[in-house]
Amino acid sequence: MSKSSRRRARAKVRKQVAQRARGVPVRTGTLPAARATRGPATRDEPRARPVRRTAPVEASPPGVADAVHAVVWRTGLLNVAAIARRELGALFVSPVGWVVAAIFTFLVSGFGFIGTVLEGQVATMNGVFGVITGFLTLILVPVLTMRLIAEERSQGTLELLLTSPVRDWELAVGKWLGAFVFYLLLIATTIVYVVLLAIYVPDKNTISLGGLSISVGALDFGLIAATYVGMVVVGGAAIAIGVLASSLTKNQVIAYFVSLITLLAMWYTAFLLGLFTRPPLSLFFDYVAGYWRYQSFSLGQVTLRDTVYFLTLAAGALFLTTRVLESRRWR
Amino acid sequence: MIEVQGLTKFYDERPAIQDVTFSVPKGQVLGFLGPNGAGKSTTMRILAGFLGMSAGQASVDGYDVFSHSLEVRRRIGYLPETAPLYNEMRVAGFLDLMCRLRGVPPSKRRALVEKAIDVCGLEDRRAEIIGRLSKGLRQRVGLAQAIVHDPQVLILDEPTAGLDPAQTRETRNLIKQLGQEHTVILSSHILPEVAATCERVLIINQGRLVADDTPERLTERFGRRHGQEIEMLVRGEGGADEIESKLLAVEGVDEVTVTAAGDGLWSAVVRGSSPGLREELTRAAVEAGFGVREVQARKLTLEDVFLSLTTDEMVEVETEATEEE
Repeated sequence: MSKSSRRRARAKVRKQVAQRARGVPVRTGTLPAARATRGPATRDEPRARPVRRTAPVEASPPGVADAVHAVVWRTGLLNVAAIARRELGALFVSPVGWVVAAIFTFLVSGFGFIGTVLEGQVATMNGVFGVITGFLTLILVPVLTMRLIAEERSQGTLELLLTSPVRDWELAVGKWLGAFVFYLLLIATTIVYVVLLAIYVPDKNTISLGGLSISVGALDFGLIAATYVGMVVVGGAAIAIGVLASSLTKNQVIAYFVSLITLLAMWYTAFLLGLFTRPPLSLFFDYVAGYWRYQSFSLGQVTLRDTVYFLTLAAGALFLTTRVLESRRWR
Repeated sequence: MIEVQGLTKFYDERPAIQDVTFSVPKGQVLGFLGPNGAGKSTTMRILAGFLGMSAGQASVDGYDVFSHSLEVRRRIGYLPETAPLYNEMRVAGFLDLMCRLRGVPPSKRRALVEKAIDVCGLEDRRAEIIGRLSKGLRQRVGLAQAIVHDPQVLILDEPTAGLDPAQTRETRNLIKQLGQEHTVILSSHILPEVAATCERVLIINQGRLVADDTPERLTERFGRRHGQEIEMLVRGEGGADEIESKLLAVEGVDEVTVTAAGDGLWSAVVRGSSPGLREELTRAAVEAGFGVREVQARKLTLEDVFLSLTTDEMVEVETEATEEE
């Protein structure tokens, strides 16, 4: 028990004793948080101005934590963490986060697992990964990211953030990180299917074909791990593009479509154009298209080339977001 | 503490503020007064480092707001115009977040949050969700976030907008109290508020500063230039014309308007500029055989100053007067 929580507990006991003395019934079963924050039944009565206490809580003496804080705060990482934490919190208290999670879970279990594995009788994660790349990073990520900065702009809270000592890049990265952690939580839920497959699919299948026995490795964990790495970097890039789109406008719907269209163009349009053009041009499109690159992850290859592609995309989009935020001071 | 030099800001082609120059010493409470759209918020946003300027310079505590924006933002607490807040957060959690973003060390965080809650009278609201608070309470939370990290300079954009009279009074007292330790700039289009809280008033209209003085001296200066108005309530048999002619005969009187006040009484509004005008008028009235019931100098309020300064023709009067001097 920390020093301050002990102090709080003592204060609570004192309060209860005082209330008993005044004949106010004390419900001892209530949560400490609720007890500490609300006086008994004063909520709806006209509030008498309480006598101001001069020093309600004394600052605890500065310790090691403060010294560490002073150093780390200069780097801006604490601001990034604070913004990301708020963003994550907002996703959990607003319906948006839950709706996205619900749709995702439904699709992953319906198409990714039941459809592919149970109906198709194939022990593979490809269905699950297909839902993530084809649906989550394309259509649901813009739902998560559309409000990030656009809402701050329309509510005016951007003014609050940017008049605090928060650098523009800290805001961009903090917003990105908040949504990214939520995305990681979403794809982490699909590990359930890896576990299920690992339990129910035997390690080795020995098939006899006319006296010749072939052993088949059923689950390729290396492949699955590579694909997860791919999903993480693809998601990071998609979210960064969403953050950029959200920084451009006040309107969340516009932010949604801008990021959806950008992602479509990045992932698929370039890929399609690559199919219909001739070598010099098609090489370019093949190079730009995200599609080929995450395909290579799902083949089990974590290549530096493709990883760098997505990381560059993410960093570039966040850099542009910073510039967009900065532009308010030049206009 | 705050130095502003030739500050100009254009939104596209339209100037929002032009060539605004002023400085605020440490510990002063400065009121920014002007009609809506005069450029108050723009000036404050530039000072808070949210917008850039088109020309000119501004500095807070010696740091330029443009080139050393971060240093400036460490030193200010800013309440934007509509008190934007995160609606899904709880009051205490929100204040804690703002503390974190402003680099308050962990050991002080809780104490500062508690202090801000206490000062702004939010004790029994600390666990409430901000989106469910009334306008007045939101405004108080906005004020709490501006002061929570104990900044040297407070920039408050219409801090009492949307509050009921009791809350307005409370907020004014709070600002006065804060003004003892902090340098405060507040904006308002409500005059009594500025007169009640500020040591100094800047009047801004259409992007330009039109006056810069204490509330009292502004009133006085204006009164001297435009003469004084005296209201008399007299009883006279001869009727309006006689009263008018007798009063006009007094030296220093420029204009007399007489209206019937009922009950055989006449109300005369006299404009004039000589110093002992009230005495002269009373003597003249008594000598003429009128019954004098009331003689009263009508005090020019800041409202009069403001109205005349912010309507264009009077601004011309002002500039002419300055040129003559």
